[in-house]
Amino acid sequence: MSGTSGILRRFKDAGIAEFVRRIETLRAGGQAEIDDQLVTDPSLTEPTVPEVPMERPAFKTKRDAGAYLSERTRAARAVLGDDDRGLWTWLSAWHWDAVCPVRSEGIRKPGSPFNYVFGFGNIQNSKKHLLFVATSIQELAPEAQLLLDTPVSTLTQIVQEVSTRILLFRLKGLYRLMDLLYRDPSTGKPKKGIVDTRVVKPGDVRHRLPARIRQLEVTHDLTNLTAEQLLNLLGDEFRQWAVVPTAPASRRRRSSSTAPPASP
Amino acid sequence: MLKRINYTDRRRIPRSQVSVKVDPTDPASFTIDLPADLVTDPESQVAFVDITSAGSSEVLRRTLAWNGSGLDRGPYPLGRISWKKAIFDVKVVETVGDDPGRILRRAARIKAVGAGSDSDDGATHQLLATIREPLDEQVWTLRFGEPVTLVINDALAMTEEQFVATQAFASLVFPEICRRAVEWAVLTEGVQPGDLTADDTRAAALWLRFAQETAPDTPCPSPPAGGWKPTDRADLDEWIDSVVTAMCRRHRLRSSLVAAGAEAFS
Repeated sequence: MSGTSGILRRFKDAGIAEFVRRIETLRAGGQAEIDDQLVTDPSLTEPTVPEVPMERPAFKTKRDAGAYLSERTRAARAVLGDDDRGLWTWLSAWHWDAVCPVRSEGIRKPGSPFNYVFGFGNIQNSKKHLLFVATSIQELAPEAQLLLDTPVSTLTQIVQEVSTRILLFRLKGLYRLMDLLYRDPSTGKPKKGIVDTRVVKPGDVRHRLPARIRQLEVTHDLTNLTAEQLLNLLGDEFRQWAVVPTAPASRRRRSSSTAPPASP
Repeated sequence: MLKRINYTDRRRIPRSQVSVKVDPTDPASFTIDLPADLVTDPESQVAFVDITSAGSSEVLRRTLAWNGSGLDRGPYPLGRISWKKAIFDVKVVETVGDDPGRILRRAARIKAVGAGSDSDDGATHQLLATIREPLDEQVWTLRFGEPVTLVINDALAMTEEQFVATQAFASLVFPEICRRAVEWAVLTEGVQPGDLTADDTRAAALWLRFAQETAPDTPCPSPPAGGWKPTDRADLDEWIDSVVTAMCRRHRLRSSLVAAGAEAFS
């Protein structure tokens, strides 16, 4: 894309269909442009009211994207609602270089259309839209590290585990809890084995966390609990993942900074 | 036999003691009448209403204000939740002490009474409910009743939400659900288009209406004299086929499955 500024717009139905067509062409190995003409064509798009200026900052993380879009889309969402298909889909096209960057080999490799087209195929897929997820998490829990400090162009497994489960997504304390339990402070990345699809580990994110939360929701309202209160309810199975306070330097060489989970 | 023990002393609020009324005048709002003694200690307990809407994952939470002698009945704004589809869950929750978050009283899935009338106009009606149960080696099954219910094997390592959100479900399972539910509505329940009224919210009526809206150009055939018989239902089978075909086409199920690639099955 050449232009760096413009105004916030939304796709009409024809614009969404055209954007999908171009993504599918790219995914099939063909040639298609997601360009300024597509995102400003009056037959495919319409400006939002009130008019909001838009730039194309170089988002590195979901935090960057979420913070920017939260502020820039606030007025439009007050009118259109938080789940306007045309708005979120247009944002993917506008920020195409951020959500589908050119790789080192000089080509783009688009992911599934639902990463860019809001609710593509099924409205539940809106929870897999890259920019919508980034903005939602940023607004709900700006302190989240594990879920926000990841590239905006991918939806990591751990982000999907949370974003696609409404019973996890709406818990205010969950995001700090995720950092407390599952983030390796030395690398800033998720600890190993927490989203393994085949192996169920005690206290893992993929299997045990949603199952235990579902169990607790029968007796407790978890929405407003803090991370510490949630952890108390979750119990020892989850506590074992928690970060151990940093050991003195002499001992640090011999011991890990995290407590390893028990074998399943 | 397992005996269930309510160890948290959680109590159900009888439906007869909860009344939710919606005012659809824009911006829509609701009022709620609850027993006066629902909150016994306002210093350590809080009452919430969670409002959801069929077909949406949005949850709107309203905290019921304590007015000194009871809970304020409102009105409380409904935000963007459709008043026609709103479902209300009431919870009284402990906020301090040894067990914060503990639910003390609860009334779930309350339907609103529309615009102050006692009719059922504002209630929500579900085409397909979803539950989890042990199903041996079967992954899913359908249960016909009010509403039609999709039963998912509880051994699956995914939530109902995740199961129905997969493209594989939409493309491979839902057409079969549609086929069997429409067949049940017409054959077993004997619902006919001419019988449908706007306020008919039986599950069979909802499915027949869904079929008609999905394939508006293909009318449901009239049953032969004496009703449909296994040997004489070619017209019916053809019509159900056309409904399923139209549904698949409308939602572009094949294209979506192709586009999702291998991820549809992950």
